[in-house]
Amino acid sequence: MFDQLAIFTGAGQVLYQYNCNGRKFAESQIGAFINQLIISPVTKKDNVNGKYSVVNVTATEKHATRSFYSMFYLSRQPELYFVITFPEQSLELNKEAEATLDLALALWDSLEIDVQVTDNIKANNDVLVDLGEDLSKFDEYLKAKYEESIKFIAKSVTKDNDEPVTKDITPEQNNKKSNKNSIKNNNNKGGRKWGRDAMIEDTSNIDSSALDFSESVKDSETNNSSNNNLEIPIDKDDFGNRTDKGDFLIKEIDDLLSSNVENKKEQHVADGTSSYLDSAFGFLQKNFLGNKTISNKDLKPALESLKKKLISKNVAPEAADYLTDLVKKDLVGSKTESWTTVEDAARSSLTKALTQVLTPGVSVDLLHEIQNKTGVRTTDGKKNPYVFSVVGVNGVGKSTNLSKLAFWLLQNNFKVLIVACDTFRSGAVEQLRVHVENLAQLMDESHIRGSKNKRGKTGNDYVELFEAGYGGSDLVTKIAKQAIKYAGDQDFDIVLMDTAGRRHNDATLMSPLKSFAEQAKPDKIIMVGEALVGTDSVQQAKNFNDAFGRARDLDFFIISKCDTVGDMLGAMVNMVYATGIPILFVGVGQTYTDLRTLSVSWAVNTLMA
Amino acid sequence: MVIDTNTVSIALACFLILLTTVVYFVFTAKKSATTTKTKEPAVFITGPSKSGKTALFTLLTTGEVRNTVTSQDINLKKNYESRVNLIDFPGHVKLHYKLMDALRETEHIKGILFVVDATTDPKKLSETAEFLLDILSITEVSKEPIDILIACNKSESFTARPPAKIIEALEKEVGLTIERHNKSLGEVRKRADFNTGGDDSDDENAGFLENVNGNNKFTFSMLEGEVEALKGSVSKKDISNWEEWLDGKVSA
Repeated sequence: MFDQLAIFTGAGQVLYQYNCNGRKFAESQIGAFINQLIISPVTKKDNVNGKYSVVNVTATEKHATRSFYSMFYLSRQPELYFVITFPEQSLELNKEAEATLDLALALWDSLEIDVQVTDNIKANNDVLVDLGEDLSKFDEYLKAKYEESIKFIAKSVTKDNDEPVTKDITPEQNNKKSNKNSIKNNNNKGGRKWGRDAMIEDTSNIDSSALDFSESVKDSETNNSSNNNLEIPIDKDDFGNRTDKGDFLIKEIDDLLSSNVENKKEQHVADGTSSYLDSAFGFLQKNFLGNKTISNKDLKPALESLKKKLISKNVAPEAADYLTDLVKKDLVGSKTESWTTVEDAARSSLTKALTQVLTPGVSVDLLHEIQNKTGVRTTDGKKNPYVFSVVGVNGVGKSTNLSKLAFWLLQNNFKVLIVACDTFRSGAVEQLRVHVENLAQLMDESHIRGSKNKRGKTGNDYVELFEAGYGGSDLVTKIAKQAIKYAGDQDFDIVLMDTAGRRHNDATLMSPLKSFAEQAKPDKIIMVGEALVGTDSVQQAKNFNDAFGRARDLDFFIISKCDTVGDMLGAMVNMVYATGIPILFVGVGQTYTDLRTLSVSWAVNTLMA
Repeated sequence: MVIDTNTVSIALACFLILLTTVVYFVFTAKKSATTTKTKEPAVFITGPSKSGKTALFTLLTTGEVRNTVTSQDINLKKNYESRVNLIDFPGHVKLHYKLMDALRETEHIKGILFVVDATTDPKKLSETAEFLLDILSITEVSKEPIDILIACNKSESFTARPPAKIIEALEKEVGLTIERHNKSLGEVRKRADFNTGGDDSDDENAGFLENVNGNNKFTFSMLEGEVEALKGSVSKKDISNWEEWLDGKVSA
């Protein structure tokens, strides 16, 4: 059994809600689902199961719900979400959810609730005005039909998995038929009633003890012939015999559903014929007048040119496809405003889509988080340092951006320990030493380069280098753990760990990252990506994000070398598109002060210019 | 042949007349449409996620208390009380840009209902404060001062805090947030070599923040718009406080 079914608008108005377990409808579960959808809309594309998308919502502290799956369908015009939540992904539940969604959508269509909803929106009314009757009908039909058939389908699937099939007919047919026939037999015995959940074995036992020979002959006849004509009247009969009202209801629903299919067909034919005059006016509307209902065909050239433009700005074709898809979903079926061409509408829709993709899903206030963590001391009076670690491909500027970050933190009066976790590349430690010397000098002009501080390390009171030479990957985690302990002992606020650059598609290089994250437990894992890289940025971001295992993700990106690419900022879009992880800073130059917070509007304007 | 050219020219003239009239009508229609879009007075409902904005909106517009789920888009009621547009904005961080755009584009904002959950721990208000500050940095530089009501929802709850406490906690948090903002790295657009046409409003924002910082302690009384906190409860239909405030703003 699934958990909940909800139908709601994008604006948060619930049109229909149903808790299958008979409990109170829990909005928080749907809330968690929507949250997931807002933060990483990409999952829409990733887990598509047939016509419906499946989203896995993992438990978070914030939402206090256990993990669950949801299958949903999004209709445009009016924008409605049909969502089913279920506790785990299994064959039966998937099938049940799919069948229920099918049913809900079909019922929704045939009751023409959409029409009323659209009218309400147009007429500036509340969405639910005049819907009461339709919705209660919908509720009644849905529940009746669900109880009658879908539950049963789900059950039969389970049955088939458990039991070996004895007859030569396909398992599902077999089950259905024997069930139907047995119910029929029971009824013939004189008005005995069986619950609708009657198990198949039970009924077939009684079946054999009925001793009604004429019936059993008929029984075997129907069993042997796989004739559909025979099946349909029997089908309706036994519905009717079970519950009088149920029969009536189910018939009504079926009539409704079938009439709707016919209607659709007619509409389709009508759509096909359009006169020359219409198309001429359509052309005017499209290019000058506005007020045109946008169709797929109108949008195609506009989207093509936008896509070309995005790709010319270094956006990966994959991400460009996704963005134009968003635009298509947003616009097809909607009307352009007066005097807006389809191109203009597509442009503004793309601007919105880009803004939404690039805007961080959580507010990241680093200083606040650092203050919170370092403000609380451990039980033995030591400091809790805030740990950053920086990862990325070779040569993207990990050490440089780490130093820039250190400079900013130093200016905010934090004591910073820089840790050389790159024990692989020759010169990596020496390079960091130069940075530490520079930073120490910037903080204190009297600092003499090359001198040791009172603890015998490179640096001074504000900034210090923690190093342990070169070695294998075991050494990395060892250094990391030691450094964090050292920072706590010596009253450092911040630990910044530099790691070795690694190729994202080399598993042997990527795998140590997981144990590193598990052992060192950094508060923030930052990936540095360069703006120069093209399409590969999608894969880089994905692989680095996946490298930390399921339990840990990257926290944010720093996009470096933005000053070298002009307006080709596509790499930003690619990385956020691939992972849903926000960009916090961008590197815009060579000096320590050339680190900036990302301004989404700036990035979007540059990309759209 | 002569007749032919005549008919052609007449047809052409007719066509031209027709075209100009059509263009004229469409143009006037368009003009009125755009002016109403930004000049219509509006009241905004906003606030952090799960504070009860959409529920309040529904209660105000329909008089019913209903289940709602997280909004992804705005709720709009045109001509609320036949005077203003009532707009409810989603509270999710990723969707704040919708509110920010609207704040910049709407000329007459009669007031902002900033709904907060009164049961929230005052120590966990930093995100709320940041959001409020983002709003203030736009409203405080607008021509007319914009008043804000901190609507302390869920007052029926046992753990709800009184409005005075919430205002106090928010003031403190906003002050701290301003301090942090001043210490944060600048936004990328301010760089000369990244000039994308200049954004004047941003400089004004910075001025507003510095001014606040100069006085050291932030209080809402420093602002041009009035900030008030009143308690109420959507689920108990106890929103008369807010309705009064709203009436005052709308009729002003």
